[in-house]
Amino acid sequence: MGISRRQLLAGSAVAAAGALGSTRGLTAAPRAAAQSGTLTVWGWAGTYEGIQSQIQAFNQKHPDIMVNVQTFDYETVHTNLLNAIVAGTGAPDLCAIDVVRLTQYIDGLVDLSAHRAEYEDYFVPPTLDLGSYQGKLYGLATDSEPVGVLYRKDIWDQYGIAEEDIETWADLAEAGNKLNQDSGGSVSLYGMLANQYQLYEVLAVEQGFTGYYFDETDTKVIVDDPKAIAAAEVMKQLWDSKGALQNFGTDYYDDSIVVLKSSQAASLLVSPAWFPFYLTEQIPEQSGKWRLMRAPAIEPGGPRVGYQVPTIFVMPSQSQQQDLAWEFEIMGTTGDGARALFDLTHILPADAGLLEELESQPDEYFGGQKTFELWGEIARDSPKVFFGTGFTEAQAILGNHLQQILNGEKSAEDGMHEAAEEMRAKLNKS
Amino acid sequence: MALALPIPARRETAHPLDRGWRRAAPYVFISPFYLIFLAFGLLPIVFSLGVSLYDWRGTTPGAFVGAANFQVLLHDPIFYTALRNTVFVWLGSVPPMIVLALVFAVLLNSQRVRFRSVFRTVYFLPVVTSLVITGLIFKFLFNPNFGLMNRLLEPLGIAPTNMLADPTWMKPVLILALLWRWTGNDMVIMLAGLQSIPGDLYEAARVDGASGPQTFWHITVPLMRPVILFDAIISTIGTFNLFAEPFVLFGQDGGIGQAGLVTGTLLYKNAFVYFKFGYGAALAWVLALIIFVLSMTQLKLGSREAD
Repeated sequence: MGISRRQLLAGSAVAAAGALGSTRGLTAAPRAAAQSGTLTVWGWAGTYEGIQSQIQAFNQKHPDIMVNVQTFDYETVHTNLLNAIVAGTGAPDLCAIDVVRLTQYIDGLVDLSAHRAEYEDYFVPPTLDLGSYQGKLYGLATDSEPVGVLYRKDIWDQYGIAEEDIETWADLAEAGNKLNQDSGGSVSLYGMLANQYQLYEVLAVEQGFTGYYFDETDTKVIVDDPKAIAAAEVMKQLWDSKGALQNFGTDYYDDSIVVLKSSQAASLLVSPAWFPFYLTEQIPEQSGKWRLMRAPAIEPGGPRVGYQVPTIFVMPSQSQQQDLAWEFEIMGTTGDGARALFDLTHILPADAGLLEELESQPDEYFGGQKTFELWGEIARDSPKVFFGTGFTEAQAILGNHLQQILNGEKSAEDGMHEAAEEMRAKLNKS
Repeated sequence: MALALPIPARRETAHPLDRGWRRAAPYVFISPFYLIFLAFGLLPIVFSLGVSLYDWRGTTPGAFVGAANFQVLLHDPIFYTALRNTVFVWLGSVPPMIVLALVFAVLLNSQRVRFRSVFRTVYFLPVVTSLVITGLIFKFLFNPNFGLMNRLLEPLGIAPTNMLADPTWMKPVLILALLWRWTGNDMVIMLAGLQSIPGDLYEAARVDGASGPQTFWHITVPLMRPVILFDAIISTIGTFNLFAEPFVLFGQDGGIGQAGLVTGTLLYKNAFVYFKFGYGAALAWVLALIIFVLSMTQLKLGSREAD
């Protein structure tokens, strides 16, 4: 889950609040005639700032439109949007949502597909697909979330572990055994939580499941597919490695910072593109020691990709000014709007032009490695993933069964079959 | 010298409207409570009963499913996990909380204890402490690397462990957090009860040669029974509706092994994260039924002992 990320962004947003609001150039051609009224935008820290930065530019084109950006915390935005849709009134013109919750609101949102072709090149793949469901576009992403592995090069070097030697997850598990042995147990290669569905999601994408828990029609549960069971077996192998620091905390990302800072663990197995900023903020003293690599493959030569959940801006059907809202959304999520958000958060942008610019820049925290280039490659290699109905519930269900598998209470096959049955019963899928 | 004040002539017959107003006035004055209760209490309760019969996700009209939500709930293993955890926490926290609250209240009611007001404030402070602070305090206390708890347990031969991520320890940690936070609240209720016991009774007991423990067992405890019963029922209701503490300590999924998942968090997840309002409402009604049965049992047992 992105709770840590939200907390991080909230802190950053407060720190940089004064820097926002400067005038930037327009990136989208105006599509609406002069009108009057108010455009309302809802978001939480780390989501709305790109859009907010474009108010002045927007008002130069539309002086009679007042833009009202309202900020809430993450849960409140989601609850308020649902309340407004249910009540049939009070929804904003644009609203930030976590993309995993898109399908929960879809009946109250505007289908933006008509605009898609025009802006296809503006966004890094697969971010436009992430804001889509069953072929219809509902929202534009503010960031991109490919997943890789972050590791401490100094510790890996010290114990003779080379990135080139880690091609598969099995290699990583074996390297964990070696590190544990050579360090006398004082250093673990990585931390794992027993209910860590995030790792399963990386493995699912590598296995070709673009719906993670569901098939591409979003009607069928696939976690008892032999490939999904194989993914669970890989997790078990990683868990059983002596290099795994088991159940090191309650929140994967928050508590990872603690064990990484103290050098108890030498890598982060599942790192979305936002995590490096967390590292630089929380552990500045380890600058230069970190590197980014692709997630290992399940089989030699297999895909090495993973993709997590960005934020998207959607337009509720209640919006009375949909053309203006779209124009403002494009301004806020691309070009200077995207840059304003990046300047604040340093999170991988969904804007293709900005990412291209960043890809050539070396990252000092990562010893001069061009991390944005690698993130961009992973993102481009990612299949068109989507987040179907009942996604968050499926995550929790799988997490419960994974911990029984990892703790040896069930075999991977039994555990994944039981998870699939529970999902079918609760999510009305076959 | 007394003044002769004119006595107003008594009206023999009031205007019919006036009589009507006189009769209605008390009802008008008490009506705000009932109107507010109707709008924000009774209607939502009735509405939730209706919702529990629908598969309703918020954005689309719900589909009537009859008792299906209740059937799914009664076959849901997660519900039983959450219920087991809640019962464990209830049994682990309510009895010791009541005993501690009573003991503290008796001590702080004693004239022999100095700085009573200071102690009363100190015991009550956790109740008014922000929940976020409570969560942080317990996360620090039980931190596997630098937490005080592991340091204290080390001499007893208990190896340092991450108690917030260890299913064996998670519920005891939650119980400890509840005791820390709510004992002061119960203590204040007990104190109010103690102050209503006539001092003559204690004086008479002392004259008859009763010891301190004897007066406690034979005067304080019997006379405090209604207050203890009230506390037990309120604490039971509170525990079955518990949400904030486990949410802060273990997150909405209940942490590793779902050892920290309680019925309140499960309800929140279903209703406000998954937007399964029908299922959430069904869960709320089942919980209400459980709380009703437990409260009636406590009342029955309490009054039987009183007889």
